[in-house]
Amino acid sequence: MEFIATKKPAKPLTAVKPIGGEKNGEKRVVLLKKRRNYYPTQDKIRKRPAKKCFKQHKRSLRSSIKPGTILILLAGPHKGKRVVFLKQLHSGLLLITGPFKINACPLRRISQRYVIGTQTRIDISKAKIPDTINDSYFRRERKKRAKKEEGDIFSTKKESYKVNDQRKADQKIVDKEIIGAIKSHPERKLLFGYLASMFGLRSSQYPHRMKF
Amino acid sequence: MNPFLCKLCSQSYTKYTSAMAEEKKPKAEKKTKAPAGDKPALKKRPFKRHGRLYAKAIFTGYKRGLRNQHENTALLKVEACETKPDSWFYVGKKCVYVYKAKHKTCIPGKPKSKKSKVRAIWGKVTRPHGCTGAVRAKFKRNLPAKAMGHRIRIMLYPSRV
Repeated sequence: MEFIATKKPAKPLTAVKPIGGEKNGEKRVVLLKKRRNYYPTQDKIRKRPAKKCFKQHKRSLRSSIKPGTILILLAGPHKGKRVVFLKQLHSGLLLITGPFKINACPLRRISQRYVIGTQTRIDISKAKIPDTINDSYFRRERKKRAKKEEGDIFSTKKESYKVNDQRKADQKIVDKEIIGAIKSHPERKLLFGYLASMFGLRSSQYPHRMKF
Repeated sequence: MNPFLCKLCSQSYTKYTSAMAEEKKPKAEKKTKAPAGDKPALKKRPFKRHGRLYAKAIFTGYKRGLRNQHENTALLKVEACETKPDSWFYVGKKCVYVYKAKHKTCIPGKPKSKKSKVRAIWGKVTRPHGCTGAVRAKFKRNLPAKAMGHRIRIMLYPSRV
């Protein structure tokens, strides 16, 4: 590739300075940007960052969890519910949806550690999840405080979370695709019932013996 | 297609539990929860959960030699866990001792106005203990001795399944 340099007005590299003394030649040519005093013989040793920052971490996903897997949530407000796993987000959290119509679980992020991956799987390869649904979509909004709030420290009440319309719209879009994928499954009637019911251990059911 | 879903439709829940009782040590079972008589109408919301999300265990005592005990580690006997390989499932899981007290105290995560008499001490299962399925656990604060013989719950998270 040709790089055509644009001619900037050239900065002077040297200056001519008058000096005193007889038979000295009256002037010297002096570099305006002086050369270094010391040139080391070896390259400087640069310390590498000892730890990677969070966004560079490697994200792993358990082999039992694949897109379309039905997960059992173990903790949180939706514990016990069976939900559909959509994809793993860049932060490593899993994106899930109820679907909302079936079990009132919205589009949500959860950690793998609070989830059991069952062997039931739905084929959602045809379902398109909007790219706008990513980590920044779910990020909590922090209210910006005005700098000088002298008497107002306690006046800003904690506002309870209200679902905004964009989430409701996105929920509808995604759920339509997922419910469509369920409907094309040969055992859809059971699946709808399965997703609507909650998981719970009963008498003589022991998790260390169970195959999920 | 899915073998366990077929089991769902072929067996009713009662039949399933009796089949369970017959098998001595069921190694692999496909567990589902039949909709429990609910019609899976899309409008219904199953708010009441019919089951536990924790394994039952008993606090049997502290880690000890014959004449000295160390209260920072508790020994737990997990229900129906009788071998060391089985008890490896529970290692790392969070466990909690739940109890009630006379006065109401704040619930973490809820507004200050909501108080409850139920209290909890959280901990986690650290390693197996012995070869017959017992397990050691360390709690945030040591368990009170009056908890011996009582229920502590071993949650299913952090999950490795």
